[in-house]
Amino acid sequence: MIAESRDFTTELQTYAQHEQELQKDLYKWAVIVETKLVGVYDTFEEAVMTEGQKHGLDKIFVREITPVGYQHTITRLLAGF
Amino acid sequence: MLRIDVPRGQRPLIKVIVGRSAAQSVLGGLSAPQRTPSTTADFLIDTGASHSVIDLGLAKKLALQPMSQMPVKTASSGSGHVMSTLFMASLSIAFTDTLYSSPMVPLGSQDFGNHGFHGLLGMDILSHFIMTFNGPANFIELRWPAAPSKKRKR
Repeated sequence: MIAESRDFTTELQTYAQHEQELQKDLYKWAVIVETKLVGVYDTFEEAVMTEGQKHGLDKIFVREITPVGYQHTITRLLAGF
Repeated sequence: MLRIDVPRGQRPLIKVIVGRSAAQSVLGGLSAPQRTPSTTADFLIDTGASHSVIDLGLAKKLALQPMSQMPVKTASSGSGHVMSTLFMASLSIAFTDTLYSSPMVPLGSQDFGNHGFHGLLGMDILSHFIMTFNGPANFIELRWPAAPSKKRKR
C-alpha cells in the first residue's frame, strides 16, 4: 500500500453522520473505524496511540472536530489547485 | 532563537526535519524500510495557512501514514474546497541552542510541484513560537518560549 492510497469514503460519511453531536467537543480529535465512532480525544497523539493500539493504524481515521462548514485554509496561490 | 534570512523579493523558507513518526513502526502501520525515514526539507513560513502541509510526493517518499482527509480552502479554490489527505509525521526544527521536536504531528498534503519548497509551516506549528519579521533588515527571528532551559554550571 502506498501512502496516498487509503480510501476514506466510508469514514468521511460516518464523520458527517456524527458531526452535529461532535460539536460539543470542538477542536478535539475524533477517531472513526469504518462506520463507528470509537472515541474522542483531547490530542491527535492521544487519539492515535490509544485507538491505533486497539485497531491498527491503517484502520483508524483521525480527524479534528471543527465547526460545521469549517474549512482549513491555505492562502498561497498554488498551481494545480 | 533561529534567524532566517529573507532576501528582498524572496520567500521565508525554513529548514524542517520531517519523517515518519516512531509510532508508525510501533503500531504496525505502513512500513517501507527501504525508504528514507526522515529528511531535511524547505518549508514556507505561511501565517495564512491554518495548518502545516507537506508535499504529497515527499509524503509518499517517506511512506507517511495517512490518517484522514479534510476540506481545505485555497486562494484558487473559489467558493469550494479541495480534499487534503492528513498524514502522521514527526517534525523537528533546529534552533541555535535547542531542537524543537514533535514526534507526532498531523500534516495536510498538497502537490507543490516546482514551487521550490516541500511544505508549509502553518499556524498550528507557528503558534508555539514568537516570530518577529524585520522587513528592513530582511530577516525573521523565531523564538521558542517553551524551550527547555539550559542548566547552568556552577
